[in-house]
Amino acid sequence: MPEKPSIELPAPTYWPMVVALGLTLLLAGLITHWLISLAGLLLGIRGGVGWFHDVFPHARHETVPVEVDEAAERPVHTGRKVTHLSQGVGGHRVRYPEQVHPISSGIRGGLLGGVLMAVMAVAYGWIVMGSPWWPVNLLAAIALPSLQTADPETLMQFSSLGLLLAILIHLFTSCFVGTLLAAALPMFPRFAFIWAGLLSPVIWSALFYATVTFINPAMDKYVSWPWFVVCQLGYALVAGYYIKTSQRIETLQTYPIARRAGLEAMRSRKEESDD
Amino acid sequence: MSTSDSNASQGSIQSTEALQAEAASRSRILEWIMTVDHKRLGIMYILAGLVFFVVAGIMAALIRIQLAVPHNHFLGPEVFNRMFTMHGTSMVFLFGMPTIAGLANYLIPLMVGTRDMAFPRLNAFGFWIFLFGGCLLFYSYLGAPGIYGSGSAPDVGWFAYAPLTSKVFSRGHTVDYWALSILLTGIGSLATAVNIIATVFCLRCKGMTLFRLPLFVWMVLVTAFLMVLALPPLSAAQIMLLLDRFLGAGFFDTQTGGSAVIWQHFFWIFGHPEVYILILPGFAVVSEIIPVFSRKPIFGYPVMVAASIMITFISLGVWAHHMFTIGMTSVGNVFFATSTLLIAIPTGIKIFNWLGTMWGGSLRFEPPMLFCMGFLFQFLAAGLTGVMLAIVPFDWQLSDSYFVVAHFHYVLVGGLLFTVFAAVYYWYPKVTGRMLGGRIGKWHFWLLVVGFNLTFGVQHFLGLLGMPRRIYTYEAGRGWELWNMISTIGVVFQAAAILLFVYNLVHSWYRGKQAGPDPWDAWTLEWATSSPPPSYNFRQLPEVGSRRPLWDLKHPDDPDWYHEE
Amino acid sequence: MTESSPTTRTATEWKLPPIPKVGVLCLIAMESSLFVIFVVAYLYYIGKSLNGPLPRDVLTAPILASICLLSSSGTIVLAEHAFKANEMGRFRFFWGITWLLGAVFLVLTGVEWKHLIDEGLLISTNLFGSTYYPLVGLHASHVVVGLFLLGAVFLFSATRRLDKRHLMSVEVISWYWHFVDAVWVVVFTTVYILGVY
Repeated sequence: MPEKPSIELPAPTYWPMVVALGLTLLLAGLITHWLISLAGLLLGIRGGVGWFHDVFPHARHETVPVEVDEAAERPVHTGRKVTHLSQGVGGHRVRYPEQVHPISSGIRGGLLGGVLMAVMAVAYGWIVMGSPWWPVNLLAAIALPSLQTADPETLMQFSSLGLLLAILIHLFTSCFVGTLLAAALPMFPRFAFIWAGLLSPVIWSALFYATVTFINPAMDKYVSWPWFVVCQLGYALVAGYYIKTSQRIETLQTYPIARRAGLEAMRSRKEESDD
Repeated sequence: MSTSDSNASQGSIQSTEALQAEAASRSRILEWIMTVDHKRLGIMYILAGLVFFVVAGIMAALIRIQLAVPHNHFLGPEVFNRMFTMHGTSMVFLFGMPTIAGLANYLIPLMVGTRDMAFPRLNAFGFWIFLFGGCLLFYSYLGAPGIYGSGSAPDVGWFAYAPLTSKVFSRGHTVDYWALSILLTGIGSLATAVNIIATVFCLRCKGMTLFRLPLFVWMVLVTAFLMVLALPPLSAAQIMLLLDRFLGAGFFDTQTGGSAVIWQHFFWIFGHPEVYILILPGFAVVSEIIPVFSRKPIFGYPVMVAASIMITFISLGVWAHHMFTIGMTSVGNVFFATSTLLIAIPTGIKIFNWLGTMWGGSLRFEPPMLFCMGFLFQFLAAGLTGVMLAIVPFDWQLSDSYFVVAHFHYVLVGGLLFTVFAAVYYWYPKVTGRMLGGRIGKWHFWLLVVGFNLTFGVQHFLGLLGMPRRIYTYEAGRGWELWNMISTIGVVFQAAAILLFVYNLVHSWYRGKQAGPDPWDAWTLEWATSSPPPSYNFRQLPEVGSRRPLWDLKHPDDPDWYHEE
Repeated sequence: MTESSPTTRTATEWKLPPIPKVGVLCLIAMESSLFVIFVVAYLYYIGKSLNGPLPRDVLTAPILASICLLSSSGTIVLAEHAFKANEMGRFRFFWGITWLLGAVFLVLTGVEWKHLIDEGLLISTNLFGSTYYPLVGLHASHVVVGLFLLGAVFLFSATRRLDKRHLMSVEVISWYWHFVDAVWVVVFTTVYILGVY
C-alpha cells in the first residue's frame, strides 16, 4: 500500500493507434501501392501483438495518486435518509396548471355564449336578410345535403328538420368549445381572458374560413364573414368571462391515484403513521 | 484504497514505481497519443471534428459563392461536384459522428459515475481509426491524379448512387477513396457504439438504475444501438461496391443483371437511421440543458425514454422515403409514407416535453439555453417539412430539389449543430475549468440564427421554384437570382458567427472566468467533481438515489426520491 | 408510489452485467446486421444470372462440412463444462476437437471453392459468383478468426498460462463460435437450399 492514496486506471498504450494506422495503410495500399498495404499489414500485426500483451494475462494498469482537494470535489452519497413531503404540498415540483376550471363551468359558459350567439345570428338574419330562418338553415346545411345546394329563397323558408339539426349542432358545438376553453384557460401564462376571449375566436374563425368549402359550401357562399366573426367574439367573451369567474379546483396531482379517485378507504400507510 | 477500477480489477503486472517512472518520462504529446482516458479521447474527438467542420464549412461557403449569381465561373463543374461530395461526406462522417462520439466519451463515464469507458483501449483505437480514415479521405485531393488531373477527390455525392460509381462512369480511384475511408471511420463509430453500450450497462455507479440514468445517457444509449444495427449495412454495401470495382463483381452493375436500385436500398437502410444517429444526441443535449436552465426537472422522463426507443425502432423502417421517385409499388409508397409520418409522433412528444419543462420555470437565457431554444424552433420547421416530404406526391414534385436541401439542413444545422454549440457552451467549463464568454456567446448565437435562416430558409422557396440540388450553375430569368443571393449573404453571417466561436474557444482557454465545479447549479454527476475532472473522475465512486443526485446533495431536506416512481 | 423506504432499495446488492458478455453480444448484433445485407443480396439475385454456371449445375450441399461445424458447437460446450469443473485435461481435449472440426470445415470449403473455380465460376463470371463468394467467404473469414481465437486459447492452456480467472474469455469465445455456427445455418439455407431449388 503506497503512502498516498491512489487509484488504478488502465495504463496508457499506443498499440491501438498502431493497429488503426496499420489498418488504414492496408486499405490505402489498394489505391496507391501494394508496398503500403504490406507495411500496413506488418504494422497491424505488430500492433495487435502489442495490444494483446496489454490485456493478457491481465489488463495493465497504472496507479494514479489522488490529489485531495476537498473544496473542488465532494463525495456523492445520496439517499441514505429521506424526509417525505406531505401530500398535497407540491412546491417547485408541481406541473402547471395547479388549479383548473371545472368542466361544468365550460359547459355552462358554452351554453350561455351559445344563446347569445344564436340571438345575434338570428337577429342578423331577421334584420339584414329578412328571415330569421336564414342562419338556421345555413348552419343545418352542414348535415343536410339538400340545403347545401339550395338557392337563397329556399334557405329563407322555415324547415323543421333544419331547425332541429341547427339546434343540435349549435348545442353540441357550444358545449364542446366551452369545454375546450375551460381546459385551455388555466394554461395560458397570463392575460388568459384576452387569449380566450379575443384571439381564440379569431383563430378558429380563420380555421373555419379555410375549411368551410369542404364541409358546408352553402355557408361558404352566403355567410357574412364580418358578422360571423362578431358572433364568435360575442360567444367567446361571454363563455370566457363565465369560465374565468368560476371557482377554480385543485388538480390533486400530488395525491396518489386512490385519493384522486375519491377512495377514502385506501389510505396509505404513510398517512396512518402521521395520524 | 479499495476503489479499484471495476472493469479490470486484477492487479497490475508491473510494479507501481516502475509505472510511475515510465509515466513521468513521457512527453506531453506522447501522453495524448498514448492516452486511453475517455476525457482526453473525447476532447480529441471534438477538436478533430471541429477541424473537419471548419474545412467542410469552407467548402460550403465556396459552393454558395459559386451559386450566388447565375452563369458563375468561380468553380468549374468538376470542382463543384467534388466540393459538395466532400462537404456532405465530411459533415456527416467526420464532423457529426466524431463530435457525438466525443460528447458521449467525455460525458457518459462522468454521468454514470465511473472512472473510464468499458473498453478503454478499443476507445483509443476507435478515435485513431476515425482520424486516419478522415485523413485518407482528404488525401484524395493530393492522391493519384484522377480523370481530371486534379486529385481523386470523390465526386459522386455523399450517397454515391450506382451506376455512377461503377468503373465505367467513375474511372480512377475517386469512389474507392470514398468507400475505403468511410469504411474505416465506420469501424471507429462501431467501436464507440459498443463502448457506450457496455459502459452504460456494466459500469453504472451504485444506485444508478436504468430509470435514474440522465436522459443524455439514455438517448446516447439508443443512438449506440442504432449505430450497431445501422452502420454494418453501409459497410456491407461499401464492401460490395469495392468488390464490384476491384474484382469485377456485379452487385450494382446493370450490365451483368445487377441492380442499381438495391444500392439505394442498402445505402438508405443505413442512411435514414444515420439521421437519427445524428439528431438523437442533439435531443440528448437539449434534454440536459433545458431542465437546468429552467430550474425544473425534465417533464415526463419515462415518456421521453419511451419516445427515444420508439424513434429507434421506427427509424429502421422508413428508409425508402428517400426513394419515392424511383417508382416503387403503391404498397411500398404507402408503407414508407406511413412509417415516416408515424415517427413524427415520438418526435412531437419530445418537443412538447421540452416545452412542458420550460413552462412555468424560471428561465435563464445563457448561451446554452439560447442555442437549445433556437434548436426547438428550427427543428420544428425541419420536422414539419419532413412530414410534407413524407407525402408521396409532394415528394415526387420536390425530390432532389433545394426544398430537400433546406429540409435536411434544418435538421442537421438548425437541429444538430445548434445543440452541439449548446453542448460546448454548457460543458466547456467542465472540460477546461473556465467559462466561455457569455457576451460573445450571445453574438455568436444571434449571428448564427440570422445567417442560418437566411441561407437555408430561402432555399425552401428555391426548391418550390424548381431549382434542383447539385447543379453548379443556372440560367438567369428563372426567378432564382434573388433567393440565391440572399442565401449566399446568409453565409457571411454564419462565417462571422463561427469565427467568433473559435475566438471565444481560444480566448476563454486563457482568459475565461474561473468556473468552479458546478457553474450552472446543475444536477447530474459530472458537476460533482472538479473542473477539469481528475483522470480518475471521482475520488470515491458516487452512490445515487434519484435522477438528480446533486439536487439531493444540495437539498437534503427535499430530495427527489419521493417523487420518482 | 411505493411506500417502502428508499434506503432499503439502495441497500440491496448492486449487480451489473459483465463487460465482456455485453461486448460480445454487441459484436454479434453488428455482425448479424452485416450478414443480413449479404444474405439479402444473395436472395435478391437468385435466378438473375445472365449466364452460367448456375447453382444447380455446380453446387453440391457440403453435408460433411456442415456436420463438422455444427457438431463443434457441441464439443465447445463440453470443453466449457470441463473448464468450469477445472478439469484442464478434458478441457484441452474437447477444445482441441473443436478446433480440428473447424479446421476441417475450412479445408472442405477450400476444396469446394477449388471445384467451383475449376468449373469456371469466378466472382466476375455472373451474379451467382458475385454473391456466392462474398457471402460464403465472409462466413469463412469468421471461421478463420474463430480458429485463431480457439487456437490461441488452446496454446495458452497447453503452456499452463490459462486459469480459472479466464473463464469469462473462454465463455465469450465460445459464444462467438456458436454465433459463427448459427450464421452457417442461415448461409446453408440460403445458398444450398433456397438458391438451388
